[in-house]
Amino acid sequence: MHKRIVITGLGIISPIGIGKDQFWNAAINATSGIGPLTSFDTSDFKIHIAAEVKGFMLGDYFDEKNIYRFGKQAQFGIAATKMALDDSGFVKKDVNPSRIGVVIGTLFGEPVLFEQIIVSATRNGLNSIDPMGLYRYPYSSISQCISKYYGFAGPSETIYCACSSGNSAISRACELIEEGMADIIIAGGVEILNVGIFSTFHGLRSLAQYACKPFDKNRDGIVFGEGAGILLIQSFESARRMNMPIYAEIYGVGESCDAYHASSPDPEGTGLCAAVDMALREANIDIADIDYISAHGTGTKMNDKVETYAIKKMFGTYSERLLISSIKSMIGHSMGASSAIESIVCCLAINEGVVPPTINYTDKDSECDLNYIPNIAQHQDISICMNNSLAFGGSNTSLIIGTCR
Amino acid sequence: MKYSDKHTPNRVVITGMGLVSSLGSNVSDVWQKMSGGISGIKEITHFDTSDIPCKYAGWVSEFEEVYSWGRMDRYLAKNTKMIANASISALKDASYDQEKPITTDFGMILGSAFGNYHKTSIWYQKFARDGFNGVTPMDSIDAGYNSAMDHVAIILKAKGVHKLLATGCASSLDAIGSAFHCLKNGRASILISGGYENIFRELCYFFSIKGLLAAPADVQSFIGPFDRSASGMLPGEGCAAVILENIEHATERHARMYAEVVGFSKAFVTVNDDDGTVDALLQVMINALQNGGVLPDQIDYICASGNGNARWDRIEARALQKVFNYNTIYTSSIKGAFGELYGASGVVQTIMSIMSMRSNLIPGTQGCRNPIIEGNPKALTCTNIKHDISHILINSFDCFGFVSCLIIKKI
Repeated sequence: MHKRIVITGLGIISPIGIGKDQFWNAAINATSGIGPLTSFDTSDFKIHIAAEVKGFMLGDYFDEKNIYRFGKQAQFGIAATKMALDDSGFVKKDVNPSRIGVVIGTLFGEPVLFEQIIVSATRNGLNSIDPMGLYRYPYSSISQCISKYYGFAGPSETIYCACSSGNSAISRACELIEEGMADIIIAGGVEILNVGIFSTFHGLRSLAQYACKPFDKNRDGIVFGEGAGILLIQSFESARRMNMPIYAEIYGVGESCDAYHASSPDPEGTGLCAAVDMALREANIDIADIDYISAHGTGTKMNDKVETYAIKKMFGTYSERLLISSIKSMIGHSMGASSAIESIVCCLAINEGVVPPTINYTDKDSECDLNYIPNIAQHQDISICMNNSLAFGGSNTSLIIGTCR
Repeated sequence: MKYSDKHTPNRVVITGMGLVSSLGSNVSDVWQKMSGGISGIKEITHFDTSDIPCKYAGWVSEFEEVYSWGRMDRYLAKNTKMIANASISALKDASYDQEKPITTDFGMILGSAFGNYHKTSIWYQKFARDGFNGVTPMDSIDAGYNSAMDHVAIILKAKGVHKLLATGCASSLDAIGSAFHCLKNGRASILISGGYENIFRELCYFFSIKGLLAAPADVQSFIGPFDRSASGMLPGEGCAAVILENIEHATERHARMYAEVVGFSKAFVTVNDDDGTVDALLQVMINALQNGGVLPDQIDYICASGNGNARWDRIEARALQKVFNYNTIYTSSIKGAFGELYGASGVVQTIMSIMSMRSNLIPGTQGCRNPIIEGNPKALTCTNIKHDISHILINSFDCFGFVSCLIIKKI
């Protein structure tokens, strides 16, 4: 990084808890957020489980009625942003709004709304569509809604990088701060359950039958999830000036693309290795400085194998001493939000000195033989974490987060 | 060239251009046609417009594919095929050899406002009709927002930075800005940047019923951007790509350099009133000028965002007048010829600006006969003007609030 960039606020909506404290308590106590899928009718499908957000009440975060005119994805984004702002003790009048930007990553614009529009147009003709839908229709609507709602006039972008969108958004946020285009960026990822993506993954036979078991010998796929993870990212000078509490510092970012296949990872893991290598060089640290890796660990046969292979290739014998875990075992795979939520996990692990486990781990796989922190959280001082994410379509992002140096 | 720890940022140049548009797929042909007053706008025939007031658009009726997709062909979206064409011709134009050792220095940053929504809507239509059993995984292979870019990255082996930005009509200008930042900081050495957009029924319907689209009776009666009686824009379709490169990398391989990217700035307009919006646009242009170390009077041509939307055309004209303090800097919009290209507009504007820089000709705004009186009417050019051009300011403003500004310079 050419500039020092720090994280000062965390906002999270997850299947195991809403808000930082509730989420973290559940995570270190190995709570599973996976249960029967209720968001839509699954009778046509063979899979009936998912990790859904429970107990999210808009009224808890907003008084105004007009929040309901936003799509559900934007509602998650706006609520998680509020949590991150409150968490940091941010006071709006202290900052010029044109120095605050918004960068959000996601897999799909407003899927539920889009589905309603198309289904309604197919059945009843175009005239049956609500014209106000246009404001939530473009893919850019999520960052647009957040910027507009809070009156943040800095750069606003929605980033699409499939499952690594959250990390990509954080990386872009760092770039904007480095370029001096903003002092503070609301960055992260948002995703809600929807039948379109569920059915695509179902068709590809990537969904797990009963549980998400990352790195386990009997892992059989992804469990679909939803949620939002928003981080308040700002330049070190502005955090210092505003007296904000600092969770962690972003040391480096690495991005690459497999350019291999539309839906499966490169078996050699070269893309992930390239991203990890770029992040390490940018952070200017040694491999042995990394304490914990928040793995992508989706629970599919191929992903976990390739990821383990890439970690071994990059870290050599040190990989045996690394702590690695996948919180997707608890919260499922929340697609565009997952890597942002994992970045929040890294910040909390550094601050609390405890690493959440990989649950549902029973049988060791000969191809996945590292320390995945099975089933019970591990208490240990953590100073530098790496957050890796891989995606359909091939983008890989690696983020290095550490204590404020 | 890897991540640099030196603090002097790299200089960034444009070395290749490629596009697929309603006026053709060859950059110099398209420029000849556009500057010759030929419009790409024609009657929409590829979908039913009986319940949509807008019947005309700058859509792409046919183009010759330069890449053969084989058995994948029938599953891929028009966007994917168009952006593959544009990217391949841009790389060829830049004489960049993709067969060389593959490195992560070569990546892609694109932008789009609606991505492959058309393909997604076909998926949902099938799903609405026949349920889960009516769709196959191949139906969704190109239905994701970023899947067009993923497919192109695979065929071009672009293994570096890979991301897609969605910021409405400013998407591709933002993609160029993001690529500019990436190259400046040494996170890549050569990037494909640009955008893609195709138009479809639901999109035209939405923009129509919100009163954003003009509804001319025929092509000739379309009133273009910056005309005082303009009543809205016409949708446009197209894909375009430019090759952005670190100047050292370009020099090393003796590449031809079209222009240098010097400044970029962007913001979001949160206010609803005209005066506040003028101030926001003014600020973003001033920031871009400062970012590039360029003085307002060095600018020779402004490739404006104006698309025929009465309110936004006037706001842009007023903001330009304030920035340039009544100095007559020739201003025109290409959207009279192409229509509003949404996410692809910024990159097509950039390509046309480079062509105008190379031929020292400012293209007049097509369809603009009586320029609006707000701002500086003398600056709004309706006919072609011969003029030496070294610095160009390119605006991309979205009526939902995303505003960006890029400055390029002759080398």
